[in-house]
Amino acid sequence: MSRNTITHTTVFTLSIAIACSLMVSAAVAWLRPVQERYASIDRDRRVLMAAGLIEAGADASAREVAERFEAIEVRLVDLDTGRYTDAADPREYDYLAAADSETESVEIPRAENTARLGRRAPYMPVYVYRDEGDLERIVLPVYGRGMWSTLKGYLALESDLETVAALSFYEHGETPGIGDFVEQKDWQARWRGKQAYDEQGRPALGIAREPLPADDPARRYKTDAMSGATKTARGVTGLLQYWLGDDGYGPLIERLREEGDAS
Amino acid sequence: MSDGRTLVDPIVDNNPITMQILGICSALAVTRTLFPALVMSAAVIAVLAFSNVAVSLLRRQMPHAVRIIIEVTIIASGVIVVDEFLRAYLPDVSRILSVFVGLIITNCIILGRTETFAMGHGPWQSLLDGIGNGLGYSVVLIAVASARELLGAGTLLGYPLITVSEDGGWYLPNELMLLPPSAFFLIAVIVWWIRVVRPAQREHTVMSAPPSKFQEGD
Repeated sequence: MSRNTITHTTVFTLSIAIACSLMVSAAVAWLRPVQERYASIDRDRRVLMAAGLIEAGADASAREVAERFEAIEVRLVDLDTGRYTDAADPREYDYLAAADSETESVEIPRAENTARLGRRAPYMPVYVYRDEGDLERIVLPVYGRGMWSTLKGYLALESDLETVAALSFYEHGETPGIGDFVEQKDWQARWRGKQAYDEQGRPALGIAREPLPADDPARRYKTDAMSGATKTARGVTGLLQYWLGDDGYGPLIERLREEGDAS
Repeated sequence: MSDGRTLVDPIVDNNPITMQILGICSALAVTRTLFPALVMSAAVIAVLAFSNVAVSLLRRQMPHAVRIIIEVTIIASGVIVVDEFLRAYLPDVSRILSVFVGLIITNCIILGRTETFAMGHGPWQSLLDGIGNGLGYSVVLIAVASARELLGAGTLLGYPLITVSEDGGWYLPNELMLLPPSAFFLIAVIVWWIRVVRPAQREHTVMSAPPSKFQEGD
């Protein structure tokens, strides 16, 4: 029968391949905007949770998120100067893509590279929550290498820019059952009230390397050691040190403390 | 076979999971709670119906030598479309189902139906067969997921039905139910039960081990 000739087989296979790829591309092109809208709602929801404006774990609807998010001001920060910049739309700016780009990214000095990132974006978006004009909380995106994966999260500071309001991670690929404590709410709640900097103004926030006595002064900055997950814990400490340091949000935090947050 | 039989037969009498023991992998993986299992069921029904109809329409032109590749291409395209759709409209469930939606491509039920049924039947019959087999898969998935969620967490679709001891109730959740092996046990129980009720499904030939070259005591 003719359907088993080489010509028919080739033409038939090619047509099926083309038809299927058209179908898949059409579906992707049509659904992409919807997916992106969900991704941005998801991000806003995480920022609101970090800022304490919606309860962690609460199932806030898309509309609720949009309403609450109006209280948040998104600014783009030039990490070198710590000043706000209008170089890009802070809502659209993709700092992970910028960090990967050869032309845009900035090399992180070796001594500062505790988050083990290598390069970073020149700017970072920050989320400022104001109550009657005064800075109430600021939410800073943070990320860095853990044991296997890049940990991505948000660090929220209180209005004194010293006290931690919240630390949460929303994406990681650490070992299930060992390093995945970073996503647990109980663990994230431990950070509340810790101090980000020591008396000399150096970034001190992190996870203790070993169990600390109850009266140890380091308890002001450190949460309890995590047994069995040394590398993940070191990664968390490393990324906090980096983002609170001079190459991270250090200049911004210093400037906000001195000048207030008027741009 | 009548249209009705084509649709209903795969649900109990010739169920792809309990009778043919196909598609077990995803039945183990996505049955921890009920809602993702429902979504997975809908995804499998959609893919099965679509690929069965598409293969059936093309069956007279299908070159014999590459038919499996063509079938897999059609199935894979359907799966990608369903996956993208879930990512757009049910992103949370899509995250729970993760790779298992993509793995529908390798679900033996679907290639099994396109190859053994759709290649030899018209589109209407194939559509019914696809939906029927999808429902057969769903019945098992939903049964297993309901049992696991209820016994493992005391809830169904997230609504608490049994007050667990943590909240002052009498029931201490069986955490085994939250782990994948429990799905094995539950499917085995279902297979056993169906074969008790329908003795016709029992395998007749019991395979005996081939004679050993070495005798005991060698």
